[in-house]
This record gives sequence, structure tokens and C-alpha cells, in this order.
Amino acid sequence: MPPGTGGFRGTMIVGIDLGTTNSAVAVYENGEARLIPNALGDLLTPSAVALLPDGTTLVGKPALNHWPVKPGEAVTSFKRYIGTNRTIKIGRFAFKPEDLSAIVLRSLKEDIEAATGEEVTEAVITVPAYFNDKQRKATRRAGELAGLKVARLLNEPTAAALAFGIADKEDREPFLVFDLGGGTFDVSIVEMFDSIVEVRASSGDNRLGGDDFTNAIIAHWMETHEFPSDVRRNLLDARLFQAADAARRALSDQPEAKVSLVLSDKSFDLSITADQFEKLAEPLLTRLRDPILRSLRDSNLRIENLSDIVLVGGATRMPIIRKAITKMFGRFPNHVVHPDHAVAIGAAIQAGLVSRDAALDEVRLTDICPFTLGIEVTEYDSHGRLRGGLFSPIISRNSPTPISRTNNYSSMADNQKVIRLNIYQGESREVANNILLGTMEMAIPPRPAGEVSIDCRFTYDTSGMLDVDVTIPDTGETRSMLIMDEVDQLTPEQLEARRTELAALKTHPRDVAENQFVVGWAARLYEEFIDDRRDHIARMMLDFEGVIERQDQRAIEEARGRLTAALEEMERDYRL
Amino acid sequence: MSWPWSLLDIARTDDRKTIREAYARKLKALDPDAAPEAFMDLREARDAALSGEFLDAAPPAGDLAGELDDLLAEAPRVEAEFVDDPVERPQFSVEYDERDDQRFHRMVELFTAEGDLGDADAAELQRHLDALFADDRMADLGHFARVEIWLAELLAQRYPRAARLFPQVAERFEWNERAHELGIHPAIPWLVGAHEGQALVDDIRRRDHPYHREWTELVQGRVKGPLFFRAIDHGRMGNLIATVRRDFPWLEQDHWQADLVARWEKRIEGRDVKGPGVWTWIALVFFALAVIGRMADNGQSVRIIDEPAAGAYSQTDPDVAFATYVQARLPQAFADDRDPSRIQARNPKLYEQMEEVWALHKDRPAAFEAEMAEMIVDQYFTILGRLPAEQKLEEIAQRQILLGRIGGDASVCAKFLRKPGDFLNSPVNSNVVPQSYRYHMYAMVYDWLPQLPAAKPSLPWTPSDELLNKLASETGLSPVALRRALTDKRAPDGDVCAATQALYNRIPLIPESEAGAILSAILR
Repeated sequence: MPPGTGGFRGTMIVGIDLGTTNSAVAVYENGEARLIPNALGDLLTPSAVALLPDGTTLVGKPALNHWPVKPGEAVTSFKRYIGTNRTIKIGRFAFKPEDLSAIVLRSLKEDIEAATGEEVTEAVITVPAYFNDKQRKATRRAGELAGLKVARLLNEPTAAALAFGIADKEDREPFLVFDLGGGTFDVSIVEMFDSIVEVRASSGDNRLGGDDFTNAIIAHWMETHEFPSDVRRNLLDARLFQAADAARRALSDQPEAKVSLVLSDKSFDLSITADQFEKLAEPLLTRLRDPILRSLRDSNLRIENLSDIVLVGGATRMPIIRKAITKMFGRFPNHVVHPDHAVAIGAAIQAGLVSRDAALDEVRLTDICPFTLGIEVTEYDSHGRLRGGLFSPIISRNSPTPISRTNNYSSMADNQKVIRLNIYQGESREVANNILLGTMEMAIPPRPAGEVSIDCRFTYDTSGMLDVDVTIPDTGETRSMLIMDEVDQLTPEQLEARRTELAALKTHPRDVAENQFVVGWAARLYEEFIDDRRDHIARMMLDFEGVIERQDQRAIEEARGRLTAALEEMERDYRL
Repeated sequence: MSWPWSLLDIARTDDRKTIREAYARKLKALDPDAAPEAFMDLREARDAALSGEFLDAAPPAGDLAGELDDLLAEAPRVEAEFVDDPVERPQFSVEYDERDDQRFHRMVELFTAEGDLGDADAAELQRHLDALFADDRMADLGHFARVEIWLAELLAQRYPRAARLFPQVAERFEWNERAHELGIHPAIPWLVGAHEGQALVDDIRRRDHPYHREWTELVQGRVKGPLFFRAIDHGRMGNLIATVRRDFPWLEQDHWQADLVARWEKRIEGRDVKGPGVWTWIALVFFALAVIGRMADNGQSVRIIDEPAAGAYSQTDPDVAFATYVQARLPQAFADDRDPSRIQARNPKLYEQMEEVWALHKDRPAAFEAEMAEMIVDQYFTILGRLPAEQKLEEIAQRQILLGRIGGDASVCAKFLRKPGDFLNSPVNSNVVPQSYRYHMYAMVYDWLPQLPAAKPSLPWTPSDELLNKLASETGLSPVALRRALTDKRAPDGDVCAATQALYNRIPLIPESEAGAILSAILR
């Protein structure tokens, strides 16, 4: 299959939506973006990773099935911790969040390679617009660990806007993209004219997502039910999370959701009504307002000026969210784009743009930097007193990218030897309330206070990466550095070593993956039922495992089909 | 800013569509990643062109395209189209019924009537405001924005009439010092500033505000009260004037008297004039020491703190200034081996404190004296609770002397017992405080300041029944009233005074073990 139509590059660039709950991958070819199914034939791959004691990794649905059975061996929603120092332990292995993302990315990469028959080395990966520099760098590292060159990091709402805007290439008055995913919330205001997609403002909350709504249900159940204390904590968490998540989804089309949960051979009937849920979600719903108001204010628009509200992200399926949006905007949101697919499609379009696909020749995208970046300074106030810890913005929020700005600063003390730059992101005047992105030091010639001046240049590129250059005009000395977290500093060699380590983790051959998935599914249902049904599942599992042993491909496929049908039927019963 | 029209390659225009098309054309011809500078310039040019600022500006010299464009510009221009008409206008879900209208009318009335807002009206307005905020329809962002602007205008119209409702409204709509950046409505940043200024004025009118004296001076001229109370710190006055001019310029017009401000400005400026030379000061100090040395008595006479020492305190050497102070006020210190020349070595912390006072007030003897005395009192009360029992007994003894001097005035007596620190620091009371008490405080601070163990939290004290009965027989008060007087801050003055004095008299008679507990409870 030809890699796009303009391709002198030879290799194809793919678009990857690396989500908190689900990930998806798409390619741009023959003038349109197309989602690629995974080994199980699904367009969405859950962002879950399991590591079995024998060192085999499971990714996606099999891992998600494994989670409630052996919660110690599987992890989900790890994107919430990306860019932090948290390590996640599975068995003997300690992973950083980006390692787990890398495992998911590697699996997605294999899916595309299987679907297109070509080697994939470059990708556009999406990140929440409100991801800070640390989180972006960690995402980029995840790509590198998975053996992907990250051609561009693209903001998720921008990707969705691309998917929405490119659909008919017509000019559009500013519209608002409302992106509520599993773990993050983004708002962007985008405008289209003459095939130019221009993001005017972005805002968000990178600690608010569908998971928080699920957690609200869990908290409610924990209050109203007494769960057995002999169940291990992480097992209880995993089982409850799955039940609550199922209930939350069921509430999309039913007034009441009932789930039964088997713990220590006891069955619990859990239920929640739409009204109860709405009450529980109220504090979360109020957190949606501020980012919207801020982005409207920053783009100097009134709510009447918005031509459309575009919903993206699985969590926007919840009726309470739609209701809140309708209330807030006084009109119904737009349903043109698929909430789960739009971001991956947009990423693929961006990949097409990066590789200069002829079909996108006219299209240009300009994005913005969603937060203010600057350094810490000390100033004398009007009374001659020193005031430290102040934030001096260099790039202000919602500036179009790429952008580079220079500010001039001077030394504070006589014969100062070193200037130390603390680089911050945030909106507060006091740096204590902002996020420290990194620190750099530079030797300066000893002079009386204020006589040494330095030029500090911030460059923010289209991927949202920040470069800091410092020049001392007097000496002509320049130091540039990509700012790095002290703790996260990985040399290229270390990165390579880590990649080899991760690559050493075995994965199942693709034909085995499907069997593995069905067995895992059965194992999960085994735990969810008791008595007769449980015995029945146990028998079916034994049968199926027997067939697998025989290694007769056709027999395996047949048995798998039968087992899948049986499991589906059981699960349907159980949900209702 | 370079000439936007030549960068965009169009003639000057205020037609948004033309500008945006030109921008799109230029953008497609460049790669922002490869040429970020060109992209930034282009973007700036577009924004400048859209802003309309360059419609009438003259082109930079040498810009041929610009000059040509100027020649052509004689032709009439097309009026700007108002491009904010999306085809499909949103329908807001909010419709007002009669009750809403009534409420809105009533609110406008309350907000904009003449005069100050009475308590009843304020309560009613508060009710309406609460109802409005609790209204489910506020979820509609369009409605929200309209109410925001409406309230901003109403609050601003008769400011400060409804100022007390401001904090609530500001919190709801997140108005803050960056409000001007939001560009919602000019009334909002104005209100934020006005509110901050009003808060400052309210604050500064309270007597304990550090700038109260200076403020009053500028508002009404000479501050009333004894000399040191009238003393104005030039540095502080400069601060106040500069801060108000910078942050709240309107306060100057509203509150200050112009001639007073002018006079103070002159005085502050004049302070750079060189004072007497160092030798003059040293000579003065020696002279003062000689005079005071002869004046020193045996601690019997009453010292009046607010009268500056006859001598001058050194402005150049803190040690000399401390020596002068101690010599003048606490002469026993020299006999007791607690003289100030050793402070730095013996008690660096105290020295540091003294130096701070000196640095702030070295140029005004009255303030220096008062602050030194105050500092010692403050330090003393921070360590009092942790002093050894015998020193606490001494404190009780000193208090008894002081109470004896106060005599029968129960209100003054109770004032001292409730807040001894404030009482001792108040210049009004300076002639009641025995010199020996002041010396005791100095000695304790000198000996103990840095070396006491950290304070332990102690339980509230309840006097035992036995003690209460004994005190009852002495004072004639009932045990219940006594208990209240000793433990409750709100007890009547007379009871507090009588009960505490009885307790003080009794303490030496109480067994040591019990007395320790009582002392640490009452001297916390």
C-alpha cells in the first residue's frame, strides 16, 4: 500500500491517539484518514498493560481482562501519572509511566505494521493541550522507547478540530472543542478560513476526566456498602472500578444501573440511579466551567460568537455532561465527529501534513502555547526592599506557535559569579504557585550588581517543546539547553538501554493474542459469577485450553468462536 | 513593528476578509517550523492589520510599497463589515418571567438609590443576590456573562454604596487583579482597584495599623496625643505616599489634604541633607552620658518612657546607642553585670533585636526609646511562661507593686491583668510601671532569651475547690464567681481584679509543687 500520495520520505507517518483509557491509531492515505484495527479487530485499544509472572506482556483488552483477576499484574490509567516521578511496580519490574505508554505504543505500532505490511518509524502522537512541558517530554520519550520517532506532538483538541474542520474544508466561525477524556479535560477555540485551521485559545484541567466520575460512584458505594475486609485492597479497587465503570456506561441509556459484584464468594447488588449520579458528579461538573470561561475570555469571544460546540472524548457520552453543556451554552452540541475516533483521525491528518501529502497541500494548522512560560526573578519594590520568588513571563499564554521571545535580565549582587535560572510555567505572579520546569546555571563575569545583563530566549515549537537559550552580550557567550528535569535526565545511551530492556519483555505472537484474550475474558467472568455458571465457565475453559494444546488452527478458531459466543451471552445476562 | 501592509502584500484596508486571505496566502508559502521568525512576523502583521491601528499611520521612510499605497489610499475605503454573525444564532434557554423582572427591578433600585446602603436594604439585596446565584439558569454561560456585566455596572454606578456586596460577587465571577486582561467590561478592573483601595483605607483607620499615624497626619494634620505618639517616621511617610500614588492614586484626592502632602514631600526630600558630623555626635553622646549618669537614681522615681532621653542616641554606632539607653533607663544593669557592652557576646539574639530597633529608629530618640522598651516587653512575654518558678514569683511580686500603684481603679487593673503586654506597651500607662519591673524584664530577657526550652502546650487551668474556698474567705466573693474571674476572660472587671490580687497574695503560701502548676497556668 502506498504511504500517502506525496511520499518521497519512503516511510509512513502514523497518527496515534494515546489516551488515558483508550488508544487508537490511524494513517492518512489516498486523501483520507483511516483508523487501523488492532489484533482483535477493534479500533480502540484500551490503554492497559499487564505483565505476567513469566515476563510476557499483555496490552489492551487482554490486559484489561487480566486486571480484575490479578490486579497486581496489570495497570490502567497510567497516563495520569506521566511526567511525574512515580514508579509503578508490577511484580519485580518497576516501570515509569512512560515505559508503560511505550509498551502500548509498541503494540499499536505492531498493529499498523501488520495491517499495512510496512515498517513504521515515525508518528504524530497526541497529548492533552493542557499537558505541561514535563508531561510532553515524557510522552516524547515514550515514543522513543517504543522505537518511534515523534514527528510532532499534537494537542488533542486541535487534532479533533482538524478532523472536524477538514471534513468539508469550509470556512468556519470560531468553534469550541470540548474534549473530556478518561483523565484529562481540554477546551480549545478554533477557527477555520481558507483551509487554515487556527487555534485561538486553549485551556483545561489535566486532572479531570471520566475516571473521576467513575471514582465518584465508587466513593458512593464504599459509603453505602460494607465490603468484605479480607479482600485485598487492589483487587477490591479493580473490581469496583470495573463495576462502577460499567454502571456509568449503562447510565447513558438507562435511568438506573444495576451491577452485581462477587467478592469472596459473596454477591453484592450495587445500583445507582441517574439522579444520584448527577448529584455525585456536581462538584466535577462545576470544574468544567472555568476552563471554558477562560478560553472564551482569552480569545476575546462571547459565547454567542461560537458557531459550534464539538464534543470529543469518551466521557462526553455521559448524558449528564451533555446536559451540562447544553445548559452552559444554551444550545445542543455538534455530533458530527466520533468522540472516540476524532483525535486519532486528526493525528493522522497532521501526519499527512507533516509528510506533505498532496491532498492536504492547501491546509495549514497553527496552534498556540496554552500556558505562560517564564523565569523566577527578584525585584526591588518601590520602597527599595527585595522581593524574591516573582514570576517574570516571557511567553504569555495563547501565543501562536512556533514562537520565540527574548527578555533581558541583570545580575543581582556585586561580583555575582553564577546566574541561576528557574524556569516556570503557570499564571501566578508568585512562582511558588507555578510549576517548576527546570533549572539552568551559567557562569557570568564578576561585575558590580546590575552591570551584567543576560538575554534569555524562550523558544516554544509546534510540538509544545520549550528551548531556553541564554546569551551574555558582553562576552558573547551563549548557552542553549533543552530544559530537562533533573530527575528525568536520560542520556541517549540510557534511553537506548531502557529501550532494549523493554524490548526484552516478551509479547505473544499475534495469532496467540486472540486466544489469550478469550481465555482472559473467561477468567474474569469466572470470578464474577458463582455456583453453576462458574462451573460452566470452568468447563468451557478446560475444553478450550485442550483444543489449543492440539495446535490445530482450524479447530482452535472454531472453538474460540463458540466460547466467545457463550461468554457474550453470559455477560449480557449479567449486565442486566 | 514593521509596516504590516507590505508584509501582507496588500494595500491598506480595513476589510477583514482581505487581510485574512492575504495572511492565508502568505502562510501557505512558508513553513513555520523551519522559519519561526517569518511566521511570527507574519502573525504580528496580520494582528496589527486587523487591529486597525495602521490604517492612518504613516509608512516608514523608504517603504516604496507603503508610499505607493498611501497615494492610492485617497480612494474611499469600504466600511468594515461586522463579522460576528454566525448563521445560526444560539438560542439561550433563559427566559425571564414576571418574578424575575420584579427582582431585577428591585435590585437596580437598591443598588442605585441615593446615600449609604442601610442594613435592612443590604440584607434584602443580599437575599436577591443569593437567589440569583443559586438560580439554576446561571449554568447558562451566556446568562452568566450577562449577569456578570450587569452586576459590574450596578456595583460601579454608586460605588461605594454597595461595596460590602463586592467580595461575594467578585468571588463568584473570579474577578481579580488581572481582571483588566480579560477585557470583559471596564467596570470590573475599576471595581477591583476601588475595592482594594477601600479595604486599605478601612484597615489603615484602625489604630494598630503600622501606617495609621502617617495616614491620619495626611488626612487631618497633626496627630493628637503625647509627643512620641505624634512622631512621624519619614521613611514610612515616604512609603505611604509612594505606595498610594502608585497603586491607588484616587485615594490621594479623596482623603488627603493637598497642602499637608506637599509639606511632607518637601520634608522627605530634604532628608538627604547632611546632618552633623560624626564627631559632633560622639561629643553629644559623652555629654549625655555625663548628664544622665548624674541624674540616675536608685530606681525609685518613675520614668516616663515617651519623653526622649535628655541625651542623643548614637546614630552611627548601635553599641553606643544601647549603652545610652540602658544607662538612662536601667542603670542597675551595670552593677548587675548585665551591661549592654556584653550583650553581643552573651545574648546575640537580643543584640540582633536591639540592632533592628536601632536600625529602624536611630534617627529619632523618642521612637527609639519607645521601641526598645516595647521590644523588651514583647520578648519578655514570649519567654515568661518558660522561666523558672522563682523568676515567675518575682513577676508576681512586680505585678503586685504595679497593682498597688494603680490603686482601686478596677477597670485599669483588669485591663492590665487581661493583657499585661499591651498595658505595659501603652504610652498612657508608662508612669505607672515601676522602674524595677522594667529592669526585671530586661534582666530576664538578657539572661534567658535564647536558652529556654521550647514552650510546651499546657492544659487550661481550673483552680481547686480548696483554693477557691480559701480565696472566697479572703475576698468575700462566692467560689463560683471566683472560678469565673480566674478562668473566664469575660468576667466582670471588679471580680477579676479582686480574685487575681487575692491569688497573687496567696501564692507564696501554697506548697511549691502546686504553685508551679498555677504559675505556669496564669503566666502563659
